[in-house]
Amino acid sequence: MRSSDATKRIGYPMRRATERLVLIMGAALLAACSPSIKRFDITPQVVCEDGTAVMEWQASGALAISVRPELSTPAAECTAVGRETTAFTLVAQRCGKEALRRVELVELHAGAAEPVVLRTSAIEGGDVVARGDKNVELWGERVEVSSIAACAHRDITVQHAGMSASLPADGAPVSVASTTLSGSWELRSPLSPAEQGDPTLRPKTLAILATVRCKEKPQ
Amino acid sequence: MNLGKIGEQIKGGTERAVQLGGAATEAATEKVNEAIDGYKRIVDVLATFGFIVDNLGLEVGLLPSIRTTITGSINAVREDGVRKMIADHADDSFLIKVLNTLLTVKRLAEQVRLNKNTVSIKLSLGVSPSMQFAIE
Repeated sequence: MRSSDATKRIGYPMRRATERLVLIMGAALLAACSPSIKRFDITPQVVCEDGTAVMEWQASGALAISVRPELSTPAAECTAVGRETTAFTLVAQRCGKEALRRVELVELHAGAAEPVVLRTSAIEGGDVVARGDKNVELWGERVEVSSIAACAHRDITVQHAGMSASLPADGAPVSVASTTLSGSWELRSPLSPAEQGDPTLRPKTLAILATVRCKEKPQ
Repeated sequence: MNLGKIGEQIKGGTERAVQLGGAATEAATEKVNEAIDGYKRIVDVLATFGFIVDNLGLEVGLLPSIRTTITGSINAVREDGVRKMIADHADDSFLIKVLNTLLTVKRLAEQVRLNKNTVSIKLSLGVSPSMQFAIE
């Protein structure tokens, strides 16, 4: 039965090819049958008390949202106070699969304070110096600093947005002309004799606490 | 679900744990008892909006906690009623956080039009409290 044999010989690779095609099509269908979240944003990410933020997303699948407020812990020295952080998670489900995207929203209350903590990067003269940025995208132009205070019992000199201030080690706040929290900061602190003699004693970071407020919305 | 009975059962369980564990667990038991009281207050308040307890669990150990899921319809939550509850329980910061978040979730549910009305609130009360709301 040659023809039958031939059929068998031809039929086998054809069946394999068909199986491959089915597998490829199946994989493509499975890929199509997946949830997707292309975008999930909250703008702005920092709002002032009773402010509003806009949530936008581009997603496919059955959608659900979860809201998880961060519970405040007792304030330690030089930590953020007067802020409420809430995490929003968008969940998309399709064909038994799940996609997640998480965004945080920060709400500032009256008298809120934010730490500015920068990694030290240089020794200049007898000072240890730390330079860095507060995220412009996060803090924007609306949150401004009303006063600043030194942390960790160190004298600190601050340069920021054309402003210069000397902060006493006792943590007493120094009022500053309104400047934005975001942007470049430079913190400088004199090294003690022990720190000058032993590099391992030098601070890895310098920190100040900035009391912040929201600028009035333009009328 | 008889919440009062469940609370008493949990208390009974933790008291036995104290007898077994001695002074070290007394502080933990005190924390559990505080959590039970907090749990009862939350359940009582949310029950006024038609929310019910879906499940309840007690985790014993060095960091004991009560875990529960409470569900209800966001449509049954009235903003003025929640605000009154917030004013009535001004000294209970965890409950106030639950109620404020419930208001946030209600506004969110109304604005995003997910066509979903059920809110599921997962709470953990104890040494390290947490809460999570889901619009499902």
